[in-house]
Amino acid sequence: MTTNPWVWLAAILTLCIYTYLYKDNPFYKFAEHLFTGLAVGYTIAIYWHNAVQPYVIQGIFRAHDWVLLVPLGLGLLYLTRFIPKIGYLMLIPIAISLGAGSGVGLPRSLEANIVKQMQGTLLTPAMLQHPFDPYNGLVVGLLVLAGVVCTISYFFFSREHTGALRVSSRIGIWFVMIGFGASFGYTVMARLSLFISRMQFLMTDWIHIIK
Amino acid sequence: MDFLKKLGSLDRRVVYLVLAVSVIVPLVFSFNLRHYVDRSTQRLFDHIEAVPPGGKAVLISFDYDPQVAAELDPMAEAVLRHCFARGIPVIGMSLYPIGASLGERIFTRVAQECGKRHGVDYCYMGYRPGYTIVIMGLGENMRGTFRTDHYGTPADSLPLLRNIRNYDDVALLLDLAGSQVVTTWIVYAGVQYHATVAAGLTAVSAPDYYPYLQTGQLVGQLGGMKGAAEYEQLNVERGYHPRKGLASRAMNAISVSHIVTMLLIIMGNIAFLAARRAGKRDGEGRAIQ
Repeated sequence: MTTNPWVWLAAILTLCIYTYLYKDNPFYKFAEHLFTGLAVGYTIAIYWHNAVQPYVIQGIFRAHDWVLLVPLGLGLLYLTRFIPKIGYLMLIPIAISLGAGSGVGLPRSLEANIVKQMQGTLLTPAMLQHPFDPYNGLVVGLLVLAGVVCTISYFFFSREHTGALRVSSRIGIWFVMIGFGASFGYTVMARLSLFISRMQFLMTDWIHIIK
Repeated sequence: MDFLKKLGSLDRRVVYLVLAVSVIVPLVFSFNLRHYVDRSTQRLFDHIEAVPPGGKAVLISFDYDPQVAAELDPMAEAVLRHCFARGIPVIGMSLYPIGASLGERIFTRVAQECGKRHGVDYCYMGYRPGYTIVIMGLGENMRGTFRTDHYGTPADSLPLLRNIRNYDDVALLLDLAGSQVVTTWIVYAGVQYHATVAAGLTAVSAPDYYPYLQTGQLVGQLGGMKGAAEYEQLNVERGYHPRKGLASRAMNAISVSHIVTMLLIIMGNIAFLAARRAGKRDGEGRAIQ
């Protein structure tokens, strides 16, 4: 076993967290609260040193960049939410953020998430060259096209799902379910990966079972 | 039927115990299970392989927190080893406050192992607040966005950054992320500045980004621990590193625990169907004794 006190601390806290799997208990609560407090404190310190100090304090008081007072003032308006009488002032920075964010983001977002994705469903002559290519082949192209059309038809609610629409929406829901299955499979792998990593730490760094 | 009844009302702690054993045993008793390299990983590897040594840089953004470091740290390590072995300049940064520390730890360790110098072979710029503004700023003027590196050294004094103005001098942007921040890189760096973007993702996020891979908006993608293990395998096969890393060693445990999970799901469904046939189940479908 290691003699490094930090590894011991990390190992004990890891075990404290896993005791929750048996049932809720004070050890778990202690580790949970310690983690939350540390994470918040650390984040505040990081923001202070990387955002407030260089961009606000140094910018205004050292570089005398007085324009920075405008965003600083707007930012401080968020705090008016704690004063009910003038709490509505908080809407000003929110409106500016939303307006500017939407203006900058919408055109690019539409292109990246709608136009390019629609292009991805198109069948092109190049697909005939490698029909069974798993990414750009004709077969997968037809599958993607069918999947997109049928799935969208499932979410078409302006007409009763009868006749052809019933068939396509039924196929669409199958595509949706396969998608959910793939996501669930990946999620299982993700959660197990996190557990495996902790086990590797305990058995490698702490008790040295694995070399 | 008694067995199926017991199975249906199995204590969840027994399931946890079985899964724990299925993870621990393969870690302790090492054996070699083969795993293939996915094409999304191969595409990322090939793209970096095609970057000329000493030419354009690879920019890696560490946009994740410790919760998902288990999946993303091995990816960062594997890609860094590949870049350093080929003599490709690397720039590290983070849009997440805590991600900056995680990235710095990996950069320092791998650079020391590979004998690389900060400022010359690689630069670690650290954290800058304001996701979208930072991504757009890098597209205009990299040294204007990062005036100093992670350690406070002025960016103008770093030799590596002298030839890098914006995304035009970057061969690849690799975003290592445990959230939807990859979309921001695709939308702004990819669409607005026509930068080449790739992603290293947690397994939870990976399925969401396959459409971007299919359209070419992502040139490559690493998905979870498996993606990292695949990249480690490619590094070993090409002789860039003598041995596989943590992710590859974890793959045995992942494979065994997946088999156990599948068996548990099948057994759970059999117990559920048996209980339903017997007409005894509670509101959540559990068998009633």
